[in-house]
Amino acid sequence: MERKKSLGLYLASVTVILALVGIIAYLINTNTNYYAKLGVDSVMLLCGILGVLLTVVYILIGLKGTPMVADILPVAASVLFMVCTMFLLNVRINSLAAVFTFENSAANMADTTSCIVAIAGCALAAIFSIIMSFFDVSKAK
Amino acid sequence: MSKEQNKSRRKQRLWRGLTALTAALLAMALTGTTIVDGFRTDIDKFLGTASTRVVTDSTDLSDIYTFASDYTSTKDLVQAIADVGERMSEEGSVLLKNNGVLPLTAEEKGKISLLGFSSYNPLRGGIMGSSLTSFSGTDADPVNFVQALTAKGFSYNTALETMYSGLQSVFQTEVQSWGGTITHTTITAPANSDGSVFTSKEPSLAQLDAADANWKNTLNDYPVMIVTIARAGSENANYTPGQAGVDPAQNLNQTDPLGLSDDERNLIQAAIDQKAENNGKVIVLLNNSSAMEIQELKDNEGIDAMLQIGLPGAYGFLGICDILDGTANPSGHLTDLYAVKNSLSPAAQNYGFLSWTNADPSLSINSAIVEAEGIYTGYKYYETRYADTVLGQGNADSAVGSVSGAWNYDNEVTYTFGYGLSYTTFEQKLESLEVDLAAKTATATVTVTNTGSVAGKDVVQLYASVPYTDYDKEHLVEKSAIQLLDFGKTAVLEPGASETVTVKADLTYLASWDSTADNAAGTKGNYILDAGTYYFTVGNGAHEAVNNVLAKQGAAVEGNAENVQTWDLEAMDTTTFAKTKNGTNVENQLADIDINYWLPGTATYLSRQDWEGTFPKTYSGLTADDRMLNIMANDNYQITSTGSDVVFGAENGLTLASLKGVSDLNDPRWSQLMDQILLEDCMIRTGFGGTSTKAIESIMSPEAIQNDGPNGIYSYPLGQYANTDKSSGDPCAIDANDPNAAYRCGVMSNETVIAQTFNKDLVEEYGKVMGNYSLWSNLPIWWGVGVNLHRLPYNARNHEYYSEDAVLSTIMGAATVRGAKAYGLIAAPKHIAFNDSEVNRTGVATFMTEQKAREGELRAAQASFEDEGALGAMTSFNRAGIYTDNAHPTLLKKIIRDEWGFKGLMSEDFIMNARYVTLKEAVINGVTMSCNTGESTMAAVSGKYAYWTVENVQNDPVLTAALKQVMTWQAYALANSNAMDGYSSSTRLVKVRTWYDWALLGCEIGFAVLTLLNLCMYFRARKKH
Repeated sequence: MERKKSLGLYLASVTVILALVGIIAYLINTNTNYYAKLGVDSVMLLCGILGVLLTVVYILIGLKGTPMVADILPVAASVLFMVCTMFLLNVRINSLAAVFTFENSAANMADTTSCIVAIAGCALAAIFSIIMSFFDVSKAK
Repeated sequence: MSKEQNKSRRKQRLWRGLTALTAALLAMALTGTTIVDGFRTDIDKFLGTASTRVVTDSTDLSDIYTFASDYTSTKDLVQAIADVGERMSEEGSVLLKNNGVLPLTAEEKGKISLLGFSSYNPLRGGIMGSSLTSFSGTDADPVNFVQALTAKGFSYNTALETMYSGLQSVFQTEVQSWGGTITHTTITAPANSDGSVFTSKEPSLAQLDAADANWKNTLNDYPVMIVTIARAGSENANYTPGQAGVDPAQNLNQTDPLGLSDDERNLIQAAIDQKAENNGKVIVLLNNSSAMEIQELKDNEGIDAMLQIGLPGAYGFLGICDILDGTANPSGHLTDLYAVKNSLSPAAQNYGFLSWTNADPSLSINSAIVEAEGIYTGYKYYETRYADTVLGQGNADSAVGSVSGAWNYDNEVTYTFGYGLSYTTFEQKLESLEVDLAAKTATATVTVTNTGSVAGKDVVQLYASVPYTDYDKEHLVEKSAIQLLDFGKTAVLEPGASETVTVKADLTYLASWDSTADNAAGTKGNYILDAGTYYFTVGNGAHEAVNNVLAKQGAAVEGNAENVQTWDLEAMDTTTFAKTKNGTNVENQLADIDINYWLPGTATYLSRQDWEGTFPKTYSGLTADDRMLNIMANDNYQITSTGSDVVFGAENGLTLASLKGVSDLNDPRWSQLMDQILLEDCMIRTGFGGTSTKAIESIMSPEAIQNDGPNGIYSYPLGQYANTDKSSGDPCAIDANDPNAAYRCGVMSNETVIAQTFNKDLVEEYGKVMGNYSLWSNLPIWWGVGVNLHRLPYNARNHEYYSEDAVLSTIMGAATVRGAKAYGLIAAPKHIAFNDSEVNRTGVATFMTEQKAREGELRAAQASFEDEGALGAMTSFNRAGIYTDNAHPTLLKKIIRDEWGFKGLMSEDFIMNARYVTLKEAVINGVTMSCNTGESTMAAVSGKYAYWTVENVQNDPVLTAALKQVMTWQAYALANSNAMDGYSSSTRLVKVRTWYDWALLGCEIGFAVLTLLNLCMYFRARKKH
C-alpha cells in the first residue's frame, strides 16, 4: 500500500535532533573544566542513545506501515528520554547550585551553558517524544 | 484505508500517545523518588517538612533538656538580639575625625540632610555571605538609616529622599544570571573574575540637578549634611588593586576601587560649599568593610567629622543615631590600618590571578599566590618600617613601596590599626606589667581617667615590642616592631572618673616561630623568645604604641616613654612554648607551604634586614614541576587491603544520648558506642555531609542542621525547625502562630564592626544570644566565626572576618565561641586556613613561610580551639601550598587536632568537585564531612567517589581507623551540644512519610494505573482494527 508522510515524521525528527543536541551538549559538558571531574553518567547516556535509536527505528518502520512494534517504540523512547533527563538533573544539581552561588565565575558559568543546553535538549526531547506518540510517521494514501 | 480503519487507527494513536504520556510521567515519578531521597534534607529544609520523628519514652524532662535559655519568650529573645545589635554599632563604629560638630545638639537633630544614595540604600550586610536577612511582622524587624533616624527622634530632609528615590535607575546594579536579572539598589562588589572592575554608582551633580534643580537650596533648611560613601563586602567577589580595578568606561579620576570617584568627591564638595550659605556641618559616614583610601577626606578641612560605620546589620543604625546625638559616646577602634595607597603594600604585590604557566583547570590547578610579605601585613608592615626609618636601619627609607620619593610614614598611612576618637579625652597610665613566664602570662595594670567633659568608655590596647636580634637575622626570624598582645575596655567613665583595667595577656602570642630552632621532639621548628628587652605599652592605636617604645629607646619621636614597661630575658627561651597547652610538642609542620621547598630559590621573603632588597616582587608565571603536578592532581593516598581489625556494627545497646555531656573521650562508653556504628554509615556520612549533619541510626545520632554565618544564624527562619508542640515539655517550644517564627537571624553588624568594639564582653554576649537563639530555633551548628585575616583590603570578603591582626581575631573568635558554647551551640571557626582571597579559591596554591602561617591565620583561629574547646570547624577551598587544604598531610591533623586538641566536627567548605573534595585524604586528616549531598546509600556515595566502596575501604587499616575516629569526633561534638536536647537514652528515631512522599507515591500508583489502562485501551483498539 502506498503511504504518505505524516506529522509524526516531523515530530520524530525534531525529537531526534533535540535528543542529539542534548546528548552532544552533555558530552561537551563532561569535557569542560568545571564538570570534567564528574565523569560521564553511563545510565543517562545509554537512555539518551537508546531513545534516539528507537525513535529512528520508529521512523523507518513507520514509513512502511503501522505494526504493533512501531507503536511500542515511541512509548519506550518517551520513557527513556524522561529517565535520561531526570538522571542528568540528578548528577548536575549539586554543581549547578555551587556555580550559581559559591563558585560563581565567568568561566564556570560558561562551562554551565552546555549543561543547561543538555538538560533543555533532553527535556524537550522527552516532551516532543510524548507528542510524537499521538501521531503516525506516515499514513496510507 | 476505510473510514472505519482510519477511525480505529486514530484511537490506537490516541491510546498510544496517552500510554507514552503516563509511562513517561511514571518514569519521572520513579526517578524523582530517587532524587528526592538524595536531597531529602534540603527538600525538608525548603518545605519545612520532617522525614524523621523523635520518639522518647522518658518523662524526666531534666534528662532531656540539658541547656536552658535566658529568655521565656521569643519576643524577649529577638529584642535581646536587637539590643546587642544596637550596642554593637554604638561601640563598634569608629570616629575618625571630629572638629567638635559631633555630637549634634537637640536642635540639629531636626535638621538632617542625607546625601549619597547609600544613605537611603546603605549596606547593612554582605552582598553575598553575612547578608542582612529580610523579614517583617516580628517583635524586632530590621531598621534602615532613615527608619532609625525617625525612631530616635531625628527629622530629615524628605525632598532629598524623594530625589534619590527617583534616581534609582542611576545607582542600581543589575546582575545578569540564569533565570533572570538580580537588581541591587546598594553598591555592589565586583564579580569574582580576573580583572574585575568597580563601577562608581554615585549620581553626578548634573544628575542630581536634573532630578531636582532645587536640591541644594533644600540643604539650607536642613544644614546638618551627612554624606554616606559605601564599598560593598561580598563572598565570591574581589577588588582588583589600582587603576586596573576601576571601570575603564568611567572617567571619574578614580585610581583604585577602594578610593573615591569624582562623583563622590563632587557630592561631598557640594555639601561643603553649601556651608557658606547655611552655616551647616558636613559629616561623612563610611559604609565599608575593607579599608578605603581616604587621605583626601582626612585632609579636607571642609569635612567636619567622619565616622566609620562598617556594615551595621539590622539594628546598627539605631546605635549610629545614638552616636550622632551623643546618647552614646563612640569607643570603637579600627581593626585595619587605612593606607594612603593600598596597592603599594608588600602583600599587594602578590594578589589576584597569578596563573601557573602549566595550569590545568580540569584538575583545579589554576594559580599560585606567594605571600612574600611574610609577617608584614597591615600595621605590622607600616609600623615596623616606620620604626626602622626612625632607627635608621634596614634601608627602611628607600623609595621602594612609597607613594613618592623616600618612604615616609606620614605619606603612607592615613589611620593606623587601633585608632579611634571619642567625644571626651582619656589618659591611660600603664602602672605595672608583670610577666609570669611559668604561667605564660603578662599582666598589665592600667589606670584610665576620663579627662574630658562627657562620659564614655575607653579601650586599653596592650602592645608589645620584642627584640630583633642578630640570631633572628641569621635564622630569618622576623619581628614586628609593635604587636597587639591583648586589650580591655572600661565601663562608662564619668568626667574625672578613673578605672583600673587589668589585662592578662597570653604570652603564647608573644612567641615567634623559628623554623630552624631545635625542639622537644628532637626535630626542628619551635616557638622562641629571644634574649633581650621586651617593651610593653598602651596607646590609641599601633602608631602611638610604637612611638612610646621608640621614645623609651631614646629616639626623638612624639612618644610617651613613661607609659612603657620593660621585661628582660637573659637567654633565648626555647622551652616555654615548646609544648602546646595540651602538652603536644611543636615542630615544623608546614615546610611544604613555602614555595622554596618545591622550587628552591624562587621567593625572597620580606625582611627587616633590608626593606629595599627584599621588598616582594610579583611571582607570576610560576611553573610547577612534575612532582608538584602529581600532588596537585589530588589523588595522594593509595587505598590498601592489608586488613583491618577496626570494629564496626557491634551490638552494645548504647545510644548517643547516653553519652550526653560526657566530655571525656577516654570514657570507655565512647568506644563501646562507636563500635556500634556501621562502616557504611561512616562512609556515607563523610562523603555526603551536606548542609546538615544527618541522623545515624546505629548510634542514634540526630540530624543537626548547619547554618551560616558571621552576622548571625541566618540560614533558616526561627520557626522552621522550632518545636511547636508546647506539650512536649520543651522550654523553648513556640506557638504555631508565633509572629517571631518568621524571624531570621542574619541581623548583626559585620565582623569588622564586632571587632572594632574591642569589647570581649559584648562579643561574648553576641555568642550568648546566638546560643539562646539556637535553643529556640533548634539550629545547633553555626559557621559563624570568620577567622581569616584581612591580608589585603581587596578581598571583598573581609566583611566576614574580624581584622588584619591575628591576636584581635583570635580573642574575638574565642569570645564568640565561649558565649555560644554555654548554650550548647556549636560555633565553628572558618575557614581553616589561608582562604586569603576569593580569586580562584578552588585551586589557588597559597604559599608562605611557616612563621607567617603560625603567627598569622593559624594564630587567629587558635584560641577558639585551644582555650575554648570549640566543637566545630570549617576548612577552606584553597590549597595550603600545593595540597588541597583538606588533603594537607599535617595542617589539620598535626596542628588543629594534635597541637590544639580539637575534638569536634569538621566540615569542608562548599566543594562540589568530587576530586577536589579529596575525600580519603580529608578523612585521614580529620575532616568529618564533605559538603556534598546525595542519597544515603553506598551506591550513591560510590557513584560520587568511585574509590569509596566498602570493598575497597574495609581492609584498609588507615582509612577504617580514620573513619571511626572522625565519626567519634562528630558524635562527641553533638553529644556535648544542644543538638541532643529532646533526646534521652530511650529516644528512637522514627521515619515518617512527608506529604511529598505521599504525593510521589500517589503519582507512581496513579500513573501506573493509567498506563495500564491506556495500554488496555490501546490493545482493545488494536484488536478491533
